[in-house]
Amino acid sequence: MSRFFKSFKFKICVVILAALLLGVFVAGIDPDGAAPLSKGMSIILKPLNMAAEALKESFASMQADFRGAESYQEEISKLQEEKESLKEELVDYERTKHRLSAYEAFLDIKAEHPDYSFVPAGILMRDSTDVFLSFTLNVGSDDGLSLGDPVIYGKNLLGAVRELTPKTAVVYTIFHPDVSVAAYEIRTREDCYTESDAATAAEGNVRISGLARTTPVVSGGIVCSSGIGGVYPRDLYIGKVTRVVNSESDISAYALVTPDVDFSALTDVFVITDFDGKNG
Amino acid sequence: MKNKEFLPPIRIILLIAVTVLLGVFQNVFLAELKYPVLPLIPLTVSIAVREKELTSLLFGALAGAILDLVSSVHDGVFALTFAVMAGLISLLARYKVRDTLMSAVLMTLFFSTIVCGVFLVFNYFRVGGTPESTLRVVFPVMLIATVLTPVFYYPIRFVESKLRASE
Repeated sequence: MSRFFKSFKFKICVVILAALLLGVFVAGIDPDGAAPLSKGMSIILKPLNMAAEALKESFASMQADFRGAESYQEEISKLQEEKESLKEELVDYERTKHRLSAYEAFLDIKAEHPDYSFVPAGILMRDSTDVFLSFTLNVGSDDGLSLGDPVIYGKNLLGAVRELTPKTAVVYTIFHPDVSVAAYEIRTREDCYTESDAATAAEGNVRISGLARTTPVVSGGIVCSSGIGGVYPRDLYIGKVTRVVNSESDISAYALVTPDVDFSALTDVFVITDFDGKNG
Repeated sequence: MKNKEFLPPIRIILLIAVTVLLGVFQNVFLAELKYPVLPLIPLTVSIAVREKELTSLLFGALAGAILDLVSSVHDGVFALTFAVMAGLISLLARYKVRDTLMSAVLMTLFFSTIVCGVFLVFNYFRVGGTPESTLRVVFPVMLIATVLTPVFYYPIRFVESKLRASE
């Protein structure tokens, strides 16, 4: 083994490892938060990822066909063909309906806030090890995205762009502890901010902190972004209060808020790249 | 037969193709599963026990970089971890342990423990985890990676022996 450590190949290995370590440091200080290797890989692998995503969708429709064929196998071929074709249309319809609902909500918010600039995006990949449900979008800095851009579905705030490559962007959701949103409860107008940890996120909640112990906020209250700080636009929907709890460490209280969106079922989202009052 | 100094192009292309395709499959398809499944770990181990140190290190870096693409842990960390681990496993396989399935399984367990350790340091210790969330992520990764080892070990050994015989 000592022969290997004295060989030229060992020196090459050390140089490669040093370059990878440098990449980690570069990612740490880079405003995009991505290592050079990741940026390169995102460009190279994007077509392959998109093809895999398309394949996944076609697998889903094939599965529907297979299930349908089982129940129709005793019918005459003409009827079967007709039903199969109708089923295909139904799959298309469901997919279009899903996309349409996203665009309808988008139109609403676009009409209400003409100052917003949007970039439509599809969810390309998810981090299966992440309890905070972060996901990767099929758009990146080449499409005009920048770090910190809010990501929405309809009027719901999903999270913010936290890592950026030319072709992809990693979004940390509002469940992530690194994402804190200045918020307010719409009935009481009480200011607060969101925070989270692994346990809260695992239950599908975010916490809103900074409430007074005598807070009038009650279950069912609606929490929206307040726009303070210019990081997120005002009045994006965060979720509904499910429980108000007195803090054990100080005299404040916090509330658990459950978002209305099923984060794991999302396929299309919008990134707000600019809005009135945006910080910087 | 002794390894040549440089890999023949067919083996390089095959290994890159398998790594990239499996990485994309893992990131796109397996991410939908309830528990995290990282087949890139047993693949990297199976390559590392058969190939030389430099080759293993490069393929480790490639597999890690693919995992980094979707990881919210910290960019570039998995590329570095996979490269170090692949190089180390290759070194062990060449000088200290025999090239058997049991060695590969044990090294997968070792590898996945290190990867989970890195995950814990960057994700849970930093943001405050719970035993439940740790159990949900760490043990499935270790268990599934270990169980999947023969799935990659035997085909890679078979294909490699065929390719070597033809060289």
